[in-house]
Amino acid sequence: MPGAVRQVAGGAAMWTPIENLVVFRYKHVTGHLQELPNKSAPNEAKIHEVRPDILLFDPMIRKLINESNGTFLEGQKLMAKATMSEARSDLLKMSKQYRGHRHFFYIIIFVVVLIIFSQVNDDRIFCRWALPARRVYPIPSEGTIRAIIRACLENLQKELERASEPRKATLSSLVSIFYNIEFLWHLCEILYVDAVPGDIVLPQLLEWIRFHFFRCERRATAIIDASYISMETEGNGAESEPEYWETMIGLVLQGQLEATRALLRLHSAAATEPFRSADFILKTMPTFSLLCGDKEAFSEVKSHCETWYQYMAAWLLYTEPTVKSFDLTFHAHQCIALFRGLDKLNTTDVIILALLEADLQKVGVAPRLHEHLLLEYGSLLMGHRSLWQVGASYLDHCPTKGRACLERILPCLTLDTEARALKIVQVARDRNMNDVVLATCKLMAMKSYQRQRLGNALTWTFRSRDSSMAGFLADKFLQMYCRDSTFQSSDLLHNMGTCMLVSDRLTFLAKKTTNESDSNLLFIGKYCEFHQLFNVGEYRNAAMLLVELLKAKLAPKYFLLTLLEDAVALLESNDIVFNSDDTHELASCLDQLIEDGVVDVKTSCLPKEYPEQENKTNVEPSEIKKRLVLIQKVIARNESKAIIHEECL
Amino acid sequence: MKMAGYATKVWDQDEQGNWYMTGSWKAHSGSVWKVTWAHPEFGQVVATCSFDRTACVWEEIVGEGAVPGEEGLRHWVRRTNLVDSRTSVTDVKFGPKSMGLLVATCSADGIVRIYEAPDIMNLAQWTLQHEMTLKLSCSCLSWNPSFNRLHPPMLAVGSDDTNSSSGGKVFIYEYSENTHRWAKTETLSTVTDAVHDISFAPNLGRSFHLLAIATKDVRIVTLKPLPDSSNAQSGLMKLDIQMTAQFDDHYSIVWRVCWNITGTILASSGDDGCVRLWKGQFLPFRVLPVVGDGTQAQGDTATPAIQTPSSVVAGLNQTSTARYYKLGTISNPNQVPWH
Repeated sequence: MPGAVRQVAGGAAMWTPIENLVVFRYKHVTGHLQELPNKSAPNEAKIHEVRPDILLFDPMIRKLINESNGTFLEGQKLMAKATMSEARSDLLKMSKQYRGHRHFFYIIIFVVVLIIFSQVNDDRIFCRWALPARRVYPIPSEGTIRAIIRACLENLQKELERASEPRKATLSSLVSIFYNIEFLWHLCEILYVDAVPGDIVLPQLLEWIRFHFFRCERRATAIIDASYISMETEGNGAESEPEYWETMIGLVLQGQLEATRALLRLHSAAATEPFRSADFILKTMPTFSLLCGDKEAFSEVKSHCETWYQYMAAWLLYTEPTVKSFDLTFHAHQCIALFRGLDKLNTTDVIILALLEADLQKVGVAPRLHEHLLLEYGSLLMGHRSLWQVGASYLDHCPTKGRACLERILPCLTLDTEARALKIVQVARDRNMNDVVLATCKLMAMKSYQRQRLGNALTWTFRSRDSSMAGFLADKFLQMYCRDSTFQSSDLLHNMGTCMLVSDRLTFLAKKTTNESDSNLLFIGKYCEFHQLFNVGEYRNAAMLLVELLKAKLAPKYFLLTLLEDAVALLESNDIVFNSDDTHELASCLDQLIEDGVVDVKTSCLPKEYPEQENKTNVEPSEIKKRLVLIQKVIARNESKAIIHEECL
Repeated sequence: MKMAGYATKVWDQDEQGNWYMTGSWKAHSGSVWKVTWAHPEFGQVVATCSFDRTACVWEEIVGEGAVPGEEGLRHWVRRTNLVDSRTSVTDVKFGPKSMGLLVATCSADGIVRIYEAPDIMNLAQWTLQHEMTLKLSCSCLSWNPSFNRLHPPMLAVGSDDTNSSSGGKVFIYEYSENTHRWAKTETLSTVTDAVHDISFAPNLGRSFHLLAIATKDVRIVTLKPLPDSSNAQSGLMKLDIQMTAQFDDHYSIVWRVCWNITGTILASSGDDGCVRLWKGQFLPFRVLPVVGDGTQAQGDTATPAIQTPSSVVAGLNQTSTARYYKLGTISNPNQVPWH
């Protein structure tokens, strides 16, 4: 770890959500030690934030992540509804679409595989051998999800060509990773997805080997295409090709017997008797023993195989063609022993071996392994800014731990934009994760409040239906009104509708609740209504509402002065809008206010234990006195007017 | 983020991912040992503990901005001072939020205290709910953050007593609904060296608990409640304790252990200046050969061929394939490296 105090201290690390680490210099002291002055303080020490470099998050792979997610979800739907056999064939179709835009011919025992390859790029040219097939899948059309990995590899290859270091190195490793993924996926398909009658897996194993170890086929094509037509001239046959016999052996090991015969025919001595018989029974000196499963012959040709699994496929073809999938492990171990041994396996080898072995225990283990892998993958994706929803879809399919995992991670996603927060809330709501909804809305409300965006804070509070927060914000609105004589976010307050009931279960005519702040939101709603009535000139209705509010004692104490001053505005109009009872109510309110003293807006809402902060009152005491006196005068005048008016009626 | 010396400092991260300091104050009259955050639901709340025998709870206040629409001044205020301890307070941790607003402290004289704020809107009011006396000096504690309501509240306390003959150094306490008290249910007698840090892993559906211990090496222990073993009086189930893993790769004392958010990766750090990450491996296979990059995979010594559902975490393997790079640094000349 870099840092000035490298020698003196050790290190410590803590996790930050979701996958980042914070690492810092740390020297532990126990509680027993006397407090010693810190020898190396002050100094320049740093806290480092460390993040895993996840290859999967490379922008080139994004499309694959999204498309594979689509396939996954489709697959889950298929499994859910179809019967086993239907689901299987559909799944096979999908997995093959998933793998590339070739179509495969499904072959029943002892029939040679036919493969058509399309030219992907210059590096891969595959040969075509025509043979009748039993069942044919339709060629997947362009629009469906197919060739996902292949398409990704194509893009990566293109980028690789024009990239420079160090990007080139990253792309290279991505290419090899995904190539290997396709390679191993093919094997999975053979072992798990394809339902082979009698569990005879060899033909497909051979197909797997042939597809991925294509060099000898390529060489064979090259030799054939070079058209060694003239057979008459001795020594001018194809055998003069340096790799002729090697290619032949390779083809035989892969069981590509037709191709072998084609090559044989190109030999200058092809017309001769021995070649004829060889051609007829497809035997040559080295391969004859092979075909009889001769161990010695096999060990001689071992060098023609790059890997143990190529060797295994060849061995099985000529010694145990009816091998069952669960016996593969046994043969695998034998072949590994012949090659480099268990000690020298690379990652791919380990995985292949594991796939073969897992077959044994697939009944008990597969579902849990499945969930474990989905959980890891889903959690990983949750750490990415944009891919978290894809991650969530995988976690949804983890029956035992997915929900808990999602509940744990969702609240830790950064809430830096409204849109993102809304999306998170939606995802949580869809899954009935009410705690997460509440927590997220609260956090957003607090953030907005801290940025003085009260209206936005209130909106978030409505979403969470958090009544105490609503009351708290209502207080803030009212305080600001006292200060500014205008409401912030008045549109929102006017149109609260039933939302205002979040903070008051009682109707506005009910008695005052013990907790003052609960009723404040309702009060604001009604007060806004009052203003609306006033503004459109419905003075009488406005007045009635005002009196009702006073009677219901909904208003917080610090607001009473403001209410009475509103009343004054009405009282000073020429019409009699307050009758004598109303006026009486106003008067008694005023009396109460004078008696209790005008309450300081700022400190009225805090718990008693808190020290008073910024202990300014809104207005000077003498100013308040003036206003009270004015109100008194106006009310008194109105009272007499009202009485006279009523007397006259 | 937190700091040390006598001061506590707080940094915030802005939208661009840059860190800037938003708070710095003298928290105690002695060295601050530990700092911990409460759940964000309670606001921006932090607790500190110190050599000065106190633990404090702090809250960030945002004042009103001078201009409407602008954020006001933020500053941290002390909400309460917990002064019951007679010796240095060595650790302070908030309880799981499902239990309300609780904080636990442990001291060098072996006393663990649990405080509660009955009104979560009023952080000035805390009551001492429980006090437990251990025979050894305490250095660390960890709440079990289990989200499963079937498990009773659980606390693990570690002791840094250096005398190995004084017995186990990790104690498990559980709260009994029947007696309304915390009781010591287990002592881990296999851990006899001084313990410097402990941490329960977040539990996302496991039937057992995972506890990581930082001592002379890294230890991971599973605690599995045994059904049908409830104590008649307390109603608490007996725990089956297994030492699942022990790693001495640091070749030195391990000071800190920390679980990631899903409880799947453990970070450990020690005197060797290295941080190591440990990941639980799913091992359904009988043989795990050595992987080509030289890392020895855990063997199959104790795992049966077919895994039963209760033993998913059979062995632990060091991750070696993740590459890490530095995101950014925070440096402050006044910063002291240890807390």
